[in-house]
Order: sequence, then structure tokens, then C-alpha cells
Amino acid sequence: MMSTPSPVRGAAIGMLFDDFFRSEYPRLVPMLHGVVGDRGQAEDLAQEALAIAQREWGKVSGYELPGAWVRRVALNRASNVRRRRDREVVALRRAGDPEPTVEEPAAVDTHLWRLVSALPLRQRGAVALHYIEDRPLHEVAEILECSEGSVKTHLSRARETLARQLDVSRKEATP
Amino acid sequence: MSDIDELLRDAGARLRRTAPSASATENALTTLGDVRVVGSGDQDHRRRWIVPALLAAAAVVVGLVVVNRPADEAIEPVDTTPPAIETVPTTAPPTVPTTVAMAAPWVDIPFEGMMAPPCCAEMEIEPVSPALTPDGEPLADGRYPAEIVEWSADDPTRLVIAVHRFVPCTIELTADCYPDEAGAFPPGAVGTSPETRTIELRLDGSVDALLVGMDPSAPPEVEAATVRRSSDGTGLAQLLTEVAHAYDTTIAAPITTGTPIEDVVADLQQTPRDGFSSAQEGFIGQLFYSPSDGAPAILFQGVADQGAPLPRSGTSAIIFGGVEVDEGRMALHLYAGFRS
Repeated sequence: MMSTPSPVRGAAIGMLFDDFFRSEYPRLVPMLHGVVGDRGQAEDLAQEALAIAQREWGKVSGYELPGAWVRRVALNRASNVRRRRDREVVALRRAGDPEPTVEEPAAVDTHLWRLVSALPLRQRGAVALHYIEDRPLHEVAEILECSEGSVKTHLSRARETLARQLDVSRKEATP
Repeated sequence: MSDIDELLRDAGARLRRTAPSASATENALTTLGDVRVVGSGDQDHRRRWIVPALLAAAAVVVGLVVVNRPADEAIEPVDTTPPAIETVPTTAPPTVPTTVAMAAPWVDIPFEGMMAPPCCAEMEIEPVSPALTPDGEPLADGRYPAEIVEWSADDPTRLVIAVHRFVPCTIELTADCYPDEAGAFPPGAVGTSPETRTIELRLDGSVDALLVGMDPSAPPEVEAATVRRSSDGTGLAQLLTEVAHAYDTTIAAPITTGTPIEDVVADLQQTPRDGFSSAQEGFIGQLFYSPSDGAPAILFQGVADQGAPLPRSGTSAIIFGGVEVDEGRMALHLYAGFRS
């Protein structure tokens, strides 16, 4: 459906919020799915982040990087999702559930994305932005507000962990 | 055996193709008004604090943050250009010390109650700040959002700050306030008033410094381990001076002579020296700087490629959270390391 990522840089000045939503929502949902490992939570997160953008549209539309801003808000809120999910599991255990489980991801490569969702937040954010949104390193760095070197580090650590867990080889390709 | 990079690319492409359809997107847009933003709810109704990795994340993050003012937060600036800089009376005269003052040692303090820079659409919760007192008078007891306006190693005990007020969030007040779909805010939510008073302080024994920094010795699986310690203004002045000097000599100097910043960082990560060591193990940044005086380690999450001219100042990694005045004594709340 989308072969190229949305531009994170570019004036949204004059852009209607509805158009911003139509552009970003379909891209945010798969990316956040990779981050939290759950489709429903990804849709909720995308809507929450865009709802904030809508309420702040007077400011956000003037930002140099409105797409980056909404991704940062979504990723920030994703950390709370994981904590909430962890608490739900604890609650299930306390209730005596013999095999507490979190909600199953609904989409493809379930096992892989579940492993990704267990990585530290900045690693999974980098993985999702680079591999799912297909963004080059400099755009991932802009969104995560770090250097390209840091993005490379996050991706390398993530690949190392995932390769070990999946028992696959790890050729260090330059992304 | 497949390669992990290839596996991720293929899986990413497959997930990308599951993007919501145009009709599903229209449905989501239609129901946007029903979305309840809960991030400031549940446990977040308590006083907000930034998780360094976000945001670092974080923080992320974010955190993912520019010196004093992250690009993704509170982007609408408050007016920080008051008519004149004034000096608040302290117990010591506002003169540059001619002798080296003895700093209070950095000691561990509780996490509770620390102020942090606003981040990522999360709100501060009460208390509201007192009214800003007139120029020349001390601030009334209370908590205030604030930011650093000016500091220089040439006069390390002189600090100029812009002080604002925490005021109840209203629809009209947009700075650091994020209403829900009904235009309401969490109980006690406060935002930053555009009111500004610029104050020149002397960093000496009459001022406290509360600093949240990092723990480089934390195990790698810990995403972001923080430590909280306090000293006095003298300790803060010495810390700022030390960090600025270390950055200038170890990072900025080779950059100035043409060494790529990536090489400088990689070299320090591989061969820790001059107080710098790798911050990669915790996946939270590039470098730590461990001060010599027992202050918390300072995180340089990113040293380069932040869109600003290099070299930067090392002290840009120390971010102001706010000011607390208790029985007339001022405490500066600082955070050591989102971006640099």
C-alpha cells in the first residue's frame, strides 16, 4: 500500500488536520504494532497521539516536523501501554489464572513482533521506524532526537538480541 | 539460517502492508472525538517525571529533548525576554568569589517531588505557583517552572534564569496543557504561564541544587537507571565548570580540528578517559560523563547530528526543571542528560 514513508520534515502550515490524519494514521498503526506487539493497542495509540495533535493543531501544524512530533508522542505513550500490559498480567496472576497471557497480536510474524515489543523502548522504536516504516537512519534519528550513531547502536543491539532469540544469523548489514 | 536484517526487512514490509484501508482510516477519523487520552490518567495523575530513555524516549526519549527545550515539547515558547535582569537577594552578596568556596558534598536524596522539564504531551500536577513577586523581591515559597537563560564558565557562580508560574490549565492556556476530548484536564493539572521574571542568581551556599543523573554502573538490562543527589550552588557551579571544561577539551577540541564527531564518540566509548565512558550498554545514549566530585553521572544521549552547529557546550546536557522555594531558600531542580 505504501512504498515510501511519510516525510517527517515539511511544513504542515496550511494543512488541514483531517489530511494530516489521513496521511499519518495508516503509517502509524503498523509501526506502533511493531512497537507494542498488538494491533488493537497500536490503533488506540495512533488515535491517542493524533487526538493530541488535533487538539494542539494550532501549534503542531506550525512545527517543522509534525510527523516526527506525533511519532514521539505515540512512542512515549507506548511505554505506558507496556507498563499497563505488565500490570494486567500481574493482576491476572494474582487472580489465580494458571497461564496468564497478554492479548495475541493479530497480524503477521506474531512471534517476531512480540520479541521486538519486549526490547527496550528506544530499540523497538528504532526497529519499527527503520524496518516497518522503511525510514533511513537520518529520519529515525530526527524522530528519536538522537544521532545517527545512536540509531545504529539501537538497531545493532536489537538485531543481536533478536538473532539470539530466533537462532538466526546476524550479518551486520549497513542499514 | 536466514539473516536477521533480511528477516526484519521482510517482516516489516509485510506489516507495512497491513496498514488500515482508506475506509478504516476514515472511520478512525470519524471516531477521533471519542478517543479518550489516558496518558495523563491512571498513575500519571501523580506528579510527572520523565523517563530518561524515552524518552527518552525517551523520554524517549524520549526523550527524546534540546537543551532546555526539547523540540517535541512545549514548542510554543514562553516569553523569556523580560525588560531587565534582576538579582534576587541571597544570603551572600552577588559578587564573583575571589577564593574557592567549599561546596556541599553531593548526597543522595529521595526521588519524590523532583521537577523536570515538560515532555511529550504530559502534564504537571499541582501545586499552583504563587504570584511572581515584584522585581527586587525574593520569590515567595512555592514551585515554579524555569529555564536557564545564561551561564558561562567565565563567571561560573552567575546564573540567569527565567522563572514562570504553574497555573491551572484552561483551554486558553496552551503551554504544557493538553485537554481531553471534552476540553477538560486531569484534576490539578497545571501548565506554564507566559508570565516571566528573569532573575540573576549567585551559585553559592545559599542555594540548593537537586540533580537527577544517571548510574553508569547499572546492569545493561536496566533501560535507564537514575540517581538523585543534592549539593549547593557552589557544588553546581563547580560541576558546570568541570563538565564544560571536559567537553571543551575532550570533545569539542578534536571536532574543531577536523575529527569527525562519530570518531570522537567511538574513541571515547572504546577507550574511556577524562571522565567519559560509553553509555551504550544501557541503550540510552552515547556517552556518560562521571564528575569527579560525586555528582550523578551526566548522560550525553546524542553528541552530534542534532541540527545545531558543532561544537556544543558540555553544559547543554544539564537541563533545568524548575525552582522550588521553601522558607525563603531556593532549590534548583536539574536533570542531567537528555540531549546534548
